[in-house]
Amino acid sequence: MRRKVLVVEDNLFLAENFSRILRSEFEVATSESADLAIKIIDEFKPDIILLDILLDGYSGFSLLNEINSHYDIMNISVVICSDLTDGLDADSLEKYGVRAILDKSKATPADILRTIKEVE
Amino acid sequence: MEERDFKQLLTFDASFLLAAHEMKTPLSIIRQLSLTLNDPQIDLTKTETERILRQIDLTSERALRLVNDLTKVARLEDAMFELEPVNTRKICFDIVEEMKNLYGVHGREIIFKNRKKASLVVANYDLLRSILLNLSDNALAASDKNSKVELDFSEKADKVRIMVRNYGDELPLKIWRNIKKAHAKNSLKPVSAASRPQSSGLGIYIAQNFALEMNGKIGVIKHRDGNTFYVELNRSEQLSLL
Repeated sequence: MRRKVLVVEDNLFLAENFSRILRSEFEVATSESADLAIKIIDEFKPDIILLDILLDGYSGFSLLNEINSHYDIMNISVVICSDLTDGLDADSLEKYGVRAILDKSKATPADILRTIKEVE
Repeated sequence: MEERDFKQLLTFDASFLLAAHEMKTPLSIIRQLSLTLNDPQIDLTKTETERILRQIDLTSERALRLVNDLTKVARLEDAMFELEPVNTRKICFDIVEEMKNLYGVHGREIIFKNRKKASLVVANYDLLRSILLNLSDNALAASDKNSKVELDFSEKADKVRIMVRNYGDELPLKIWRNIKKAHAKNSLKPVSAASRPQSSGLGIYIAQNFALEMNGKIGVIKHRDGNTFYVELNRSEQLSLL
């Protein structure tokens, strides 16, 4: 069975594109906000979340907190894909399930696919 | 270096940083989409390829518009932007025409509540167009999927308001307060208009500068199901046959 990836990205063009990149290997759903992501997580039950940080409304960090506070979903792996990755501390984010951090302005489609595939 | 020059340089630095943030998003999108088009591992249908090309096109136009607006802001003090009577009905139609493709690919619609009677405002067409494009851009980001954004105008005494109404989440209180504060002070500094730095209110900042240049102002009305951003300008008394 193919693993499921939820893409949380508020830019429609990028969300669509991440979906195109991942669809050959994964079942993919998208959410344009942290609010909507919570509902989709309940129904779609993703194995991995590809998460943008700077979202309209609640940020990606709020979503990380929310996920981490629910026992049944706290084990979902998260890959952050953001334009602002300079100040992010991978070690402190690890306890929130963050397995990798990608710089949106530098990562290639191949980088994104490979990183998600490597996530256990 | 004189202290005054140094302070000015610091202000420029902050503006450059803000502009750089705003530009990073469209450039990242264009890069990602181009790389996808050129990646032989990603199977794309003809329709998808056309959609990606359209998205690159729209994102480039948006980025260029931002650069053009910033150039105009920098030239406001030196350049003469001639004020003349501008037909509100015509400019609203022009904005709808210009934005409809961008709205379309986002699954939204922009409409003009077509009034039979047009108003004339004292404005510079290019500056007013930039204001309304920026407000429409903000409205797109803030509107619910499948909702409509409405352009409309109203007259009150010697003023005319051109309004951009969106349906979606109400503006967070903090952002609303920032805009009101900036408005009250006639501030020419960017205001925070979203939680994300790349939507750091540069559009509002540009709109505010352009409105002041035309002796007008921008403002926002909060609704429970969305917001109305508006630009208020002086009504032109010139006889219109339109």
